[in-house]
Amino acid sequence: MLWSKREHDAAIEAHIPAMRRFALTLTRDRHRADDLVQDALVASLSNWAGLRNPDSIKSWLFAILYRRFLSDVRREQGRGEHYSIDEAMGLAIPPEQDEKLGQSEALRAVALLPEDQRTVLWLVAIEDLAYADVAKMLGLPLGTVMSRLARGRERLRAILEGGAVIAIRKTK
Amino acid sequence: MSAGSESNIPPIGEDDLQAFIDGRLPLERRADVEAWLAAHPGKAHTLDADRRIRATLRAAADALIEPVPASMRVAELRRATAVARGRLWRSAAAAVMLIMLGGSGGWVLRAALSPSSTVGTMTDATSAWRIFANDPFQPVELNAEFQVQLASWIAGHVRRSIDIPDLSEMGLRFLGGRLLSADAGPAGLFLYEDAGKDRFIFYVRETSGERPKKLQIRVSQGVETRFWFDGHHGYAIAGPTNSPRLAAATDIVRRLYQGTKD
Repeated sequence: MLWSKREHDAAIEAHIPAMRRFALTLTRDRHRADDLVQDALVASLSNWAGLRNPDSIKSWLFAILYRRFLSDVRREQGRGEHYSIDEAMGLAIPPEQDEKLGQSEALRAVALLPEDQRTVLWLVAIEDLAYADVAKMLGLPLGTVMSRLARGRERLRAILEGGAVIAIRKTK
Repeated sequence: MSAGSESNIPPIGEDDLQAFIDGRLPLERRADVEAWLAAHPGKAHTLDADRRIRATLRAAADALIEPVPASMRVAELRRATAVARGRLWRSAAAAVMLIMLGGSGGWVLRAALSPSSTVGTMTDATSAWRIFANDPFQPVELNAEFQVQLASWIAGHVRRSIDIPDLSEMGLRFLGGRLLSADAGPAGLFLYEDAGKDRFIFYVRETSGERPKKLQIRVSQGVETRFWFDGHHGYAIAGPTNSPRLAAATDIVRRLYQGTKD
């Protein structure tokens, strides 16, 4: 590898805040999000050799995180468990900032999107990953990524501009 | 054919519009999209909304960035995984030596301690829990789907009928099982998981000589093993200490195996 262990650790660490944020949008639960990030970090530390190009460390880390998320979800579906949308998603914004900009409303609306659209939208619009990188990361054709993005935006707009009442209910 | 400026522009597609919203269009293409939007005010309106939402969302996402807790720092994770690995290795090395055989032989568990010490205390069950219960790759050789085959496979090796305990009423899902080899002979391991992802095993093997029928409990380094014997076999339930499920599972299995013949 081109990097020393120290450089490698620093490069990973720089992405932890964004990984936690992405995990939160995926799981919509603070505790599950942090468990997920921890699992992904441990996996990335033991699979350092899997990172072929240091420039793509961000999408590499996000891909590990996302695969973990999917396998957790599959396991839970097998058990028939239900998780609620956590208040952490949206209530984390200080109220004074939120008042004028509708930020927590926007986050809640994102939380209501189907997972596939939410993931693509987040990686593109928030994490600034290139469309092609997202496609590679999710193992999808570029066209599928673009249409998920378009559908996600359409739905988000309908929720936010359509004046729909966003009620976050506990699923249990 | 006359080449008007309009006809040289490749048609504007949904991909262009998305890239326009994300600011990912090359400069010259952006001008094309802007010209197109001027002629399509309805679409221009929704695109405007999408760009506003995008900006709001980014501001909201910025506010979600938080300092990384110490427990999630890379150095800390490295330290924690190294400690866990060391602990696992030490406990495994103390109790067993593992040899992987090729083919269908599976795993061989061999006591590194004197053999007699594992036969009467079922420490091989404890080791089996440590090694296999939480293995991320292949904790079982046959999964729950092959319950019938698994039961007859293990029964043939441990030389008694095997009735795989159904512990679902106490919240334990059966995941599958595997054949192991301990000092005392072949052993069967059956793996269960609760909703909190804690895992438990039921472990059975032949034993030699007369052993106590009463229930014995051993707690060691986070693993609790409850075991007992009958005429020719040793049985154990193992799982993380302090789980209320251990006692309940033991009751069910003891009852189940009292009723069946050796």
